[in-house]
Amino acid sequence: MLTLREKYYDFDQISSKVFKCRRDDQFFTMKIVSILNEENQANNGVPYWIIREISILKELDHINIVRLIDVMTDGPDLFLVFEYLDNEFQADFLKNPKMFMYPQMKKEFLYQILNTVAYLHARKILLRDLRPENILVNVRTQVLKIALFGAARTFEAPLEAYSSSVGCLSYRSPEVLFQFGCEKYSTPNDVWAVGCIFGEMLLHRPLFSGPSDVELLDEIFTLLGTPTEETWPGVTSICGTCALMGPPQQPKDLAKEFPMLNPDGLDLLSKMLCLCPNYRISAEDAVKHPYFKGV
Amino acid sequence: MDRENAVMGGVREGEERGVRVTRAMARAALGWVSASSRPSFKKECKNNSRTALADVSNISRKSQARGGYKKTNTKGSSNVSIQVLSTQEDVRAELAKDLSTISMVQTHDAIVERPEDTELVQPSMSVMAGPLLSMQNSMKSDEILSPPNKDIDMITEKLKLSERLGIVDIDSVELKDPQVWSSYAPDIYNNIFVREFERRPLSDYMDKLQQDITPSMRGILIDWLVEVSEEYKLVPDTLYLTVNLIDRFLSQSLVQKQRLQLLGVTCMLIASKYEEICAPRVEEFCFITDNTYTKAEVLKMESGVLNLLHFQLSVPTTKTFLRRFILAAQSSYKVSYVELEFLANYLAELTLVEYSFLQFLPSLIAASAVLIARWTLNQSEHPWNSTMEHYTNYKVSELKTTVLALADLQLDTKGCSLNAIREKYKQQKFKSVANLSPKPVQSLFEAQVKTVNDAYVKTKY
Repeated sequence: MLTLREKYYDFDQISSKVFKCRRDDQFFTMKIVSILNEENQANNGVPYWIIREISILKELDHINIVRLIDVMTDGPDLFLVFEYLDNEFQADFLKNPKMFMYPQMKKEFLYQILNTVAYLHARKILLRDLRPENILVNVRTQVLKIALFGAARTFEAPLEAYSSSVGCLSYRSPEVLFQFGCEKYSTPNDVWAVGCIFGEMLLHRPLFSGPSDVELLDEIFTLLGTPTEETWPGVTSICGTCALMGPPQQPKDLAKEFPMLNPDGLDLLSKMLCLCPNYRISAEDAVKHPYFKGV
Repeated sequence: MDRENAVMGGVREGEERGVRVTRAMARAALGWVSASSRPSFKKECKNNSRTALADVSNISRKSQARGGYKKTNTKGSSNVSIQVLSTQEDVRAELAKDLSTISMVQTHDAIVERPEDTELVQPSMSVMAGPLLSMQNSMKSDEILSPPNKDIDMITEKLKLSERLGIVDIDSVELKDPQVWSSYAPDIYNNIFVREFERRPLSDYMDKLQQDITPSMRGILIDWLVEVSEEYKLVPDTLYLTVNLIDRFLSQSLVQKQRLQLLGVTCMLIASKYEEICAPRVEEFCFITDNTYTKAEVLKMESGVLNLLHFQLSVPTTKTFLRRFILAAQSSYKVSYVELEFLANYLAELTLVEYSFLQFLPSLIAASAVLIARWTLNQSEHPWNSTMEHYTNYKVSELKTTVLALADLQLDTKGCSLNAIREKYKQQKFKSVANLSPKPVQSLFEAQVKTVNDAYVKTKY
């Protein structure tokens, strides 16, 4: 059996735990996970998120999901080898409008993200931490890849309670911020994150960026209006809601906030950013939306 | 971008959802005859030295695809065969050719014709490696078995038939707390029904492989693990996954009896990490064994188990199916019937301890548990109706062997001394369902029960 150094070479550090490497004229991304040091749950064996990540990735075969190529060990370290992708979605695309080479490109990227989320949901997988940093792009083929499944987990129908302290704050849904329904959040949580990414693709800045739960909720309600029993049944019964909701606010006109969007685009965005998780569009329905006609 | 190429398994615009994957379809595609029988996964027992955590990729290697193993379909169309060829392109071409010859599929022994304009999507498959029935390389058949269906008339006809047969739509929002409702449930369970054939433990590993341990030792271990799961308040999924990991490991690796408990706690550690919000720490699992094993031993075993099982932990268990089937069973009642849920769960958990139940598919055990639970709680009507048959994909006659075996287990005809599950379900929080008097089940199969299949045969889609 080949050792790590025999199998892969030309290591080039991308970040503290991520390297670019080569094998047979092909590039790969290598993620190093230390199993036995204090940083990783103080010697508690293979971290739970690694067990989930590898297990979930092994179930998936999809053009828009980063492929796990290999898993190797070397002493106390675990090496996860993934296919290599050259561009980060956030750093290269969202912050640089010129990277979107033609108008249809944003629509195509959004379609790919939604299609991937629908694929995952149909396979009992919640992403829970979908954000631009976890999306990579192959610039040559214009194919997006979702990476880093550490926060992902399988779910059951009916859905059990899962930890609510997941996901980057900016892309966290109102029901998670509220810890609505005893943490029984579900597939709509991922759709909300896609809605936030859609907004970010259009504005080239995060749609919501509050530094805390309360401030983030305030930003959300400033744009989308404060929820009521009509728009979100049961919202007033949530413990501590009054303090979180602040003064009532009316929703803004999305057409003015996103003048670059056509009516179909506005309709899709509003359905993905619906405050009530039960009324929010599913990823499966979103990919069939008229906005994607011609993609 | 060409949407054909955009996503494998994605939903294209204007397409209706694919035909529901039935058990018969899954069996037909995989070449298996009996729902309750399982493929005989014979593995050579060689003491090959393994590199830790090797070979866990989610892509197939071309070097693996060798030979001309041929599996002929015994249930579906007789002229269909799937042959493993040396390249991915050949596999795809062969599959496309074979699939194009299928004009009909069987569901519940009735013929369902495929309309001429139904498009069969060429599956995007990895290279199929080795024999089709090997544990690690089972073919992914969900892509093959769900051809998208554009025939609106056919769908309308199906809906009318469902109404006529009294099949309740258990996924409609009105029936559930909307917060836990998922529009993906049908898709999820279509995938799960196919995947339950994969990664199953051998049902005869005690005879074929193990030399130092016995079924009774396995039973003692699992009975103790039930107590551990209660002690640490672990979710049921953790217990079911633990048992699955133990059996899959024992199907492939020789274990000495003094290491069996180590395997048990290690599998529970792994299952906890996968399923729990907050898993117990390694030290707690060492403590629960009275420190028989050191932390280092548990961690070494963890690496060994994950390596041998290739990190493949996403497996459908009996509990996975129970959720769905209990929901279908509850649809008959105006209010939630918690006794039904507890009793079905109790019966299903009893099978975990019993080695002989490895011969049955998880869905078969789940369906049988629900049938007995319904019958125990209410003998005024037959426990198997069209809704149950529709969602479980089992006719009542197909459940007979498992139901009788499970009824014996409930009656404790062997006088089993392992009582952790019985004691657990005698508690008031489970409505003391373990104290309920079992009802004779033989009568369920003596009378010729008129089922939904009669209507299936008469109705041509």
